This record gives sequence, structure tokens and C-alpha cells, in this order.
Amino acid sequence: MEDVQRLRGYGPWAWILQAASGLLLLVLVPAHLIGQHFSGNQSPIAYAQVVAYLRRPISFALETLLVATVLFHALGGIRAILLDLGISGSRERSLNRGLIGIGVFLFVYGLVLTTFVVTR
Amino acid sequence: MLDDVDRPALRWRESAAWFPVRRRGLGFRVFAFNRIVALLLTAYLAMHFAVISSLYLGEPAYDRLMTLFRSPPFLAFDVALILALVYHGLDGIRLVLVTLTVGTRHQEKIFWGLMAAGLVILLYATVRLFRI
Repeated sequence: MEDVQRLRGYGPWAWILQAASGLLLLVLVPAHLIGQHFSGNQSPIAYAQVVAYLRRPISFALETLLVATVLFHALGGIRAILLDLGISGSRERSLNRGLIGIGVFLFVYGLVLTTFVVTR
Repeated sequence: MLDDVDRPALRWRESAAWFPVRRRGLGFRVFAFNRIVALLLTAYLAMHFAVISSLYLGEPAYDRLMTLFRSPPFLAFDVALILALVYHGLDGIRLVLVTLTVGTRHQEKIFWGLMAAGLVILLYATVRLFRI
């Protein structure tokens, strides 16, 4: 696997964080799929079931953690691929800022959406 | 892994270094394929954000949309999604093990063992989705 480690996209910390978030997703994604898709008698579940699921504080906390983790992992992966394609210097800093902006926006959007659902 | 100091601007042929898979070991081929799957999953994530935004439209509109998503073509798409998730997640376990230098010599066996476990998960999910 030395080939993989020669790739530039992941510095040591970026790789550790990508692996850690990936391992966390191995728990959170199955929890999401079981809770939101395989828990009722139909998949995808109906609106009322989504509301009931998200009103449980533990489910709401898990879904919020899932949104944060999946965004971090996906955007970190895109960053690694783009850095492997040769982006560096000031363009790398712009890329970092752009990805952080997209991540924060989508996290807040997800939080607003789930909050909207549970307050119906 | 190289640090930031040693990161010259790359020419295109070098820059796509993760993609050409000829003359590479199984580990690298699987890693390159996993990145393609990762990009597909990222595209799906964007689509998922768009679809669940229909919760804003209220219960009748959302439930009409979900009725459509319970039709066989969409359930087949869900099976493909589970396949991508299982492949990406389980191969991720192999990558973490390799990073920790655990089972480096046996990574081909580890890979196929994980894929066998993935097949079981995929079959279970397919049965659940289609209510077979």
C-alpha cells in the first residue's frame, strides 16, 4: 500500500481525521438506515414516521452528528482528490475556505430542516 | 505521505497518479475504484439533501413523493446505493488496517473477506427493501 501513502492529498492529520470520521460513519450510517428506512413497514418511511423518529432526542442527536460527520468526510475526500490533481499554494487555501463554507452552510441547512420537522 | 513542503505543481500525467491502475497491486486498484465510488456517493449525498428538502412541502406532498420512491426502479436504485455504501465502508476498514500496518501481508484475503461480509449485508438489505 505504499502507493496510496505516496499520494499527496492526505497529509498525516487529514488522513487520520478522514479515517476516524469514516469509522464513525460505519456506526452512524447503519443507525440512520435502520432508524429512517428499515424500522417501519415500508421504505422510505412516511412523513409522520420521520417526525416521530426525529422527535426522539437520541435520534435527533444521532442525525445531527451524522450530518456533521458525513459532510466532513465527503468534503475532506473531495479536497484530497483535488490536491492529488495538483492544487497547491493560494489555490489550496481558497479550496479549504470554499469547502469549509459549503460544509458549514449544509450543516446549518440540515439542522434547520430537522428542527423544522420536529417542531411541526 | 509527503508533507506540504514537497508538493510541487504537478503535470497532468502525474497529477492523475491515483487513477491509472495498470501494473498496480490489488490494494491500489481497489483504492482507485473506491475513490470513484466515493464521488458517486458524494453526488448521491447532494441529491439526498435536495430530496429530503421536500419535507418543507408538508405531509401530503412528501408522502406522494415517497410513494413514488417505493416503486421497483427506485428500490433497485436503493440496492445500488447500499452496494456502494457497503463497498466504500468495508474497503475503508481495510485502508485503516493497512495504515495501522495490521495484516498488510494478508490484505488481499482481508479484502475478499470484507466483500463476502458485504454481500451478506447487501442480500439482507435487498430482501428488506423489496419485502421478498
